[in-house]
Amino acid sequence: MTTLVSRSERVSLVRFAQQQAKGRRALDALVAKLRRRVTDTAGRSPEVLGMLGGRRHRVLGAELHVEEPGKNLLHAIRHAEVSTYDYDRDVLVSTIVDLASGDVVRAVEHRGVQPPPTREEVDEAAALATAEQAALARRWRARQVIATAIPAREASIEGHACYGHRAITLYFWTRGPRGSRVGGPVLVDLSRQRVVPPEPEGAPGTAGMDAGKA
Amino acid sequence: MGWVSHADWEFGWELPFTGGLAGGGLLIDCAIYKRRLVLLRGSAPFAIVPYHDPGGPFFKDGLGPAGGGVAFTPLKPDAPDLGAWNTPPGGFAANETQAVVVETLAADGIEPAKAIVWAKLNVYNYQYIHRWEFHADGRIEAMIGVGGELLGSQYGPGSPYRKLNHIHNFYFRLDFALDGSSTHVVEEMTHAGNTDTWTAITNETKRSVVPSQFTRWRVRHPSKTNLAGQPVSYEIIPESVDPPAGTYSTGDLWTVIKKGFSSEMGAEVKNTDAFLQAGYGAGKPLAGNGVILWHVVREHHKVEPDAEDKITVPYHFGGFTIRPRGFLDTTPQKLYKTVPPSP
Repeated sequence: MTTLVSRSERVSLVRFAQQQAKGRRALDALVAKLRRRVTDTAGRSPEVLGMLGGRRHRVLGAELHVEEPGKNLLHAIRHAEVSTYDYDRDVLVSTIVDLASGDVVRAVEHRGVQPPPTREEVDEAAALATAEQAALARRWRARQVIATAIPAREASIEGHACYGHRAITLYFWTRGPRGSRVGGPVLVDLSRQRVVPPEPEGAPGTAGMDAGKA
Repeated sequence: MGWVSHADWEFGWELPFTGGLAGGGLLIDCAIYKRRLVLLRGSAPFAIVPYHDPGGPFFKDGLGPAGGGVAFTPLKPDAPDLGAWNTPPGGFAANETQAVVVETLAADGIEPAKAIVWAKLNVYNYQYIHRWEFHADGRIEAMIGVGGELLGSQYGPGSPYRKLNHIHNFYFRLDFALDGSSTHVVEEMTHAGNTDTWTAITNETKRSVVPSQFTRWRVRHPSKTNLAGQPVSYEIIPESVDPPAGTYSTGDLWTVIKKGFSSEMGAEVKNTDAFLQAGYGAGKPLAGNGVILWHVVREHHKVEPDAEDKITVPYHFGGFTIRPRGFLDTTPQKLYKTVPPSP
C-alpha cells in the first residue's frame, strides 16, 4: 500500500486543527482531499468488498478518526473512517484506514447506528416522496423547494414496518431566508426504497407517531 | 475534529457525522491540564427518556437509538429553538465546522479563564446541547442543555403527548487517564457525622447517590501521590437532584472494565440501562484493569404545555463537575482578574 497522506499534510492537518476557527476552511479543504483518497482505498479493500458482497450500498462519507489517542495531535491524527451503508442487510460498514501506510486496519459492521442522512440519501428519499405528489414533484425538480431530513423514529420502534431499516423523515421547505414548510413529514424507508403509508396520531407509545403526514 | 489550547488546558473534540460513533454527539479527546493527561475521552452518547404513561413512549436517543428514539442530528449553533418539523433547512449543519462552537474566555473577578466547546443537536422534538467547559483551576464542567418543543407539538396544542411529564436521563461515558495511567482506583465517599470515608469500588457495579451521605466518587492514580502524599485524583461531583426512577434508569454511576478506546461506546444499550451492568459489565474485579465510568445527569421534566413550555422549551442546563483533588501540589495561581491580583 502507498501512503495516503504525506508527513507535511499531516503536519498541516494538525496546524489547521489547532488554529480553531481560523483554520477551519483550510482544514475542511484538506480533509475533503483526503476523503477521496481514503474512500478509494476502502472501496478497493477485499475485506470491505467481501462484506458488501455486491449488495446495494452507498458510501456515506469519510472522516478523520482517532484510533489511538495520545498527548500529541500528530500521533492522534493517523487514521480515517470510511462509512458505507449496506441497505440490503441494514448494517453500517465502518472501514478504518491508516493514513500513513495506506492500509485498511479493519472493517467493522455496526447494526442500529444511524448517522444523519447524507445529501445523496435526502435526494433519493425526496424523489421517492414526491413520486406521487405531482405538484410537489414539479417544485422539487425545479429546485423551488428544499428538503430537510432526520433519522426516523420509526426505525427504532420494534414491530414497525421500518424497524431496523435506514429510514428518514423528510420535510419540504420553500427556498430562501423566509422559507416556509410546504410538505412533510414524509417517512421514507431507504432500505426498501418506498414511502411508508401514513399512520394516524395514536395513544402514547403507539408506533408511527406522525409518519407519512405529508 | 479540532484541538483547543487555552486556560492551561489542551483537548481535542470530534462530532462524527458518518462513522460508527455518528449520532452520539460531541466527543472530547485527550484533555490535558498543565501538560498532564486527565481524560482520555468523554462523551454523552445517549439519553433514555421514559414518559409518564404505562404505554410509553420510552425513548433511547443518540447512538444506537431504541424504543422510537432517534440519533442526534447536529444543528448550526444559531438554529432556532424548535422541533425538527419547524427547523428550516438552514438550521441543520452539514459538517463539524458548521456545528461546533469553541469559546476561549479570559478570567474575570470570580471565574478563571476557560475553554468551552459545545454543539446543538436535534432530537426530533427536542434539542440537546452538549457542552464541556475546561477551567483554568483544573475543573471540567460537563453539561447538557435541553430545548426544542414538547413531544406532540407537531400535532397541535391539544395533543395529549404535550401533557406527559417525562425524565431525561443523560448518560456520560468517562475514560480517565490520570498522568497517562491506563489503570485507576475508583472510590466512593460517604459522610456520616464528622467523618468522610473513601471506600474502593472493587468490582464492575452500579452505584447511586445517597443524598444524606453526600455521595461523590473519585478516580485516582493507582500509585502516584502529590508532594503532600495525597493520591493524584479527580473527583466526580454529581449535581442532579433527581434520583434514578428505577425501571428505565436504575443508577447514577457504573464501573465497567475498559475493553478499548472506542469499545462499548453506548450503541448496544437499549431503552433501559440494564446493558451497562449486564452487558458491558459482568461484576468482574477492577484491580489492574482500565475502568470506564458511566454517570447520569438527570432531569425530571414536569411539563408546562400551557405556560412556559407552550411555544417552545427555553434552553436550560444540567451537569456535573469533575474536579482535581491531590492532582496538584498547591493552589493554582493567578486565576482571577482582581485588583490587587489574587495570589
